[in-house]
Amino acid sequence: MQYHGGDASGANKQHEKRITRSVRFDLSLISKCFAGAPAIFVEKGLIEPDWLETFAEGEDKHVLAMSSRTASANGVSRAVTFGIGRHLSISKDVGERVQTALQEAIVNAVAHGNLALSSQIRRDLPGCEQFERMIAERLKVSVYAALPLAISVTAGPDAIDISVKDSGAGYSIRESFVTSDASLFGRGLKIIGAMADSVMTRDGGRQISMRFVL
Amino acid sequence: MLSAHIWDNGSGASLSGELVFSDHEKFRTLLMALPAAGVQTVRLDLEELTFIDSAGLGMLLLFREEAKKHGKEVALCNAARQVKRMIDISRFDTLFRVE
Repeated sequence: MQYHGGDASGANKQHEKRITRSVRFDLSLISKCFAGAPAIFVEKGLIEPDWLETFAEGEDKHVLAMSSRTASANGVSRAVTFGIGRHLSISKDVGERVQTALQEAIVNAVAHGNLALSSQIRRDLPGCEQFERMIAERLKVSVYAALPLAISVTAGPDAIDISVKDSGAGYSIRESFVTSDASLFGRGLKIIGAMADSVMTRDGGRQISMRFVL
Repeated sequence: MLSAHIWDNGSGASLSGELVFSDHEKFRTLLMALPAAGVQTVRLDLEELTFIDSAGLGMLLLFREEAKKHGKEVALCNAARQVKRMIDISRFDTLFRVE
């Protein structure tokens, strides 16, 4: 790992000082990022988005910025939750809620945000299969796969605040909820709402912020 | 990662591990293998399933639809902790037999 910074100036200097660029960004390292001191971890080779500095504001924030391809790996939500659990003592109940909500937020950010795919085709088995193929295909195309996504965690004495931000076009919250109990898709935001103590979307749906009271 | 053990008599399967977004293919195999002829209720034992996400819930619903085509119902059995919580939030007791 390398620590960059030194000759930058002003606010940018502060931002740069905290940045760690990692060579490998696997699940074990993702977990370690959230277990240590607050810092900004950027995946090596990632095209840093212009929103990252604002997103990372706050001295006590852990921030992890990675590509869609890295975020799409199975287990990112578990690795982040495990890391938080190593950083501070959280109950099994909170850990379960954090992991569940994060999983939904990350999958939404990758599939609907960065990969710009709509769930509307997931109406039956062939539609679900087609959706899965489209995800795999877009993850091979660098214009989608390299798009950045960031996760921030701020652990306070009374609550954990977690945000997930993508580089997509945003969405309308009205079109994002399940229409019937038997619907095959559209359940993600409802689940996040049930797991977190409060939820807020920002930047036209590109960012979701969730609070978990300890 | 999802593991599925189909019972010898074809009346159901035990799922273990996690049922998430990336498990479509594995779940599809399970879906095609069940339900067996002569079984009215297909049971999915979820006791060893440790985590499910909204896509995983969608897969259970796909399973239910497939079973319905054959005139069968699906029972979700022994769900615990996070999986039970997700089933409760999604009101799956109105769609499945929950045991």
